[in-house]
Amino acid sequence: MSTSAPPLHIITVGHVDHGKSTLLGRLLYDTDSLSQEQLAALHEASAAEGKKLELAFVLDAFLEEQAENITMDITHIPFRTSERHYVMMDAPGHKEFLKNMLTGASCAEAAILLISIVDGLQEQTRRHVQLLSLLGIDQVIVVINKLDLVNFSQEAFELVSQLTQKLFQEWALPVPWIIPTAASLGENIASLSSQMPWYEGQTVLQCLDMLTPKKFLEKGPLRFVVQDIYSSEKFPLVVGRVESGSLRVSEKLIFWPQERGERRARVRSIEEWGASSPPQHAFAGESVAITLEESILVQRGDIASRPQQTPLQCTDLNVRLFWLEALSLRVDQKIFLLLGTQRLLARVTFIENIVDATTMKLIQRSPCSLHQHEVADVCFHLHQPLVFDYYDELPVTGRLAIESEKGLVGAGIIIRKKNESRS
Amino acid sequence: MKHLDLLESKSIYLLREAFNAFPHLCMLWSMGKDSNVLLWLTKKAFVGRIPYPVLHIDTTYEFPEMLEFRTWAQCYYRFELVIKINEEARAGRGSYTTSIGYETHDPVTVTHELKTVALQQCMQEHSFDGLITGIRRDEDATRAKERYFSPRDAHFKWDYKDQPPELWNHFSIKKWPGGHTRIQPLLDWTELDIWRYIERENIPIPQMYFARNGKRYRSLGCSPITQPIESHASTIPEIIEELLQTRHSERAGRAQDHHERHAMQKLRARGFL
Ligand SMILES: Nc1nc2c(ncn2[C@@H]2O[C@H](COP(=O)(O)OP(=O)(O)OP(=O)(O)O)[C@@H](O)[C@H]2O)c(=O)[nH]1
Repeated sequence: MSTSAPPLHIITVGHVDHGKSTLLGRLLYDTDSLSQEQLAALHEASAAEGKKLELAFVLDAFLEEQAENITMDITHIPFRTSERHYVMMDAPGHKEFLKNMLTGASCAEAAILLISIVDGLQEQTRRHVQLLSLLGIDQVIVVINKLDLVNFSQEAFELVSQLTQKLFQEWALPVPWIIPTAASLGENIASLSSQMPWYEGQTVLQCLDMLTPKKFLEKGPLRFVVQDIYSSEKFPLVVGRVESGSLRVSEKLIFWPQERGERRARVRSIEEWGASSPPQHAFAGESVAITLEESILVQRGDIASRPQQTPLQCTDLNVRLFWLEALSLRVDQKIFLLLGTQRLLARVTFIENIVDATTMKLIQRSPCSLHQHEVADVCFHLHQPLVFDYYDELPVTGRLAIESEKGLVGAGIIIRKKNESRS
Repeated sequence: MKHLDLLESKSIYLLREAFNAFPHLCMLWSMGKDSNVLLWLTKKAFVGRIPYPVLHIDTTYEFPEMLEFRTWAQCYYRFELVIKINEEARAGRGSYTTSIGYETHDPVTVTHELKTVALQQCMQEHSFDGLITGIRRDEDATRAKERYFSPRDAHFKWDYKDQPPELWNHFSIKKWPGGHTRIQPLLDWTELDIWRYIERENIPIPQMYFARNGKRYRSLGCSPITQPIESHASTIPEIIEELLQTRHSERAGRAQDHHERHAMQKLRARGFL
């Protein structure tokens, strides 16, 4: 196993009570991943709540979570198999904790979707699938759980399995694996179940090791997001992170947005404290400090690119948006868009294609507004141009967060306008 | 990108975001391994500078070796050091009717008064609005639920039932009178990552982490309530090897965590790290 590869981030999602925390607890338990203290605490907590062994308590650590047997907030648990390292994130299934689910999902590379065979596809099952699709998480392991409650019936499994495949098709998501399990009993989790001889696929653990890790965008177009400018004895230090592509000493950069004339400058040096020799390159994912040959005005919010493969800049945008706030989003409302380190005030000009996640139907509403937990296509108008890429071309600079005085209230991806073709 | 490089880069990103967002930022430093990694990352983020004051909450129950390290490190790194003791609590003056200490009180009470309350006093005295901490998710089940930017009100309360969302690289930078935001750049790091990074970068740490006479400290807190573990690991590679084998939690030797069920949650809800 390579210890130098970053861990794969996986989130468990699904409707409340379908067994997300239990599945992760079981996985940790069956692979001997819990420390003696964690095991002792698990037994103590289970006994205190009058239960035999409640594996969900490994993740659900808050006393309120244990008393009510629900997950309130996302938990990150490191986990390793003989193949590689993982960070498992347990998301809550309650509607009121959707913002916490989204927080975890925004850093996940793959998901495990749990569906209880007794309840089938429920409201949050459908909503979570919609969000996975919106966030571009297209590696999903579907786990149909609690088969012990239907006598491990293959027929019952096939039925829910078909409905699930249909749902995934509707959201244009591939379905690589569907696994029948009983998480609390450990059936098909870390070892194959003897109760379901009709199942010929993999266990949850085996499927994990078949997922593909996220690729770094070293070969993509350069997007260097500027966080700040620090003064130093010699030249000002432009600090930020290479979100895509790579940059080299002595190469020419363009800083965006371009307003009054172009801002071009060559990279004089990459500065690194304690480095034995000054670095000559920086690649996607790296936080760096650079100095420039030419003295131009650079500020937080700027994005640098190469002279070719430039980003777009525009004062009108189309965003597919998931709205988190109880207070609806209205046409004409002013709100901040956050992309990279840009924070720009924008006005809502149009809201269309509001989809009801549970029925997949379009919602008509007049005057038009976007309610909590709905997804729609929203047009924004800005005074200053926003620098971006279309999400389908470069996700890192194609997604944004929405901020109001309440904090972060929405997440979205930048899509093309209807009759706009690929550039 | 390699795992340690990615962790380092994200922590640097978070430190720079914090420095940009909070005009009165400070960093907690307990002289322990995580704190020293934080100092190191600060030097990297600001290309050799430490641009905010470094805070040591002194409970007066510190190991003498740790205090020696404090003096040494301040000379070595050259930062502005703020040392804070809750003098009233130790002396039983002011709002305290008796002197608070491990001799007379349980570890949860002492931790709250000498660490959390002392920190509260210090934050108020200096009007700090951002506090960089070195907590990690793998240390404790409630820390596993933390955010990178975590808002606290004037009473230090952690509103764990309603934490703000964090989306990609966007965090909640809320400011209100008397409150502050905790910035937690080491959340993603595990104990093993910390040791591998200390080894790779050759970061100075106190000698108490290395085995002497069959014992070493795995986590360092107040001397009366911190127990060493049985160990012969006297070098970093040996420590890493030991951690790969162990079935014990890192903070098993820290009494305040295990005083009662949910002790950490109760301490942390009231502002403990
Ligand atoms: N019979 C049976 N019960 C199960 C199974 N898996 C989980 N459960 C039970 O279902 C209940 C809910 O499980 P959790 O793991 O807490 O569910 P969750 O999806 O994490 O719930 P939230 O996070 O609150 O949405 C618990 O009482 C579990 O013991 C299973 O395979 N069979």
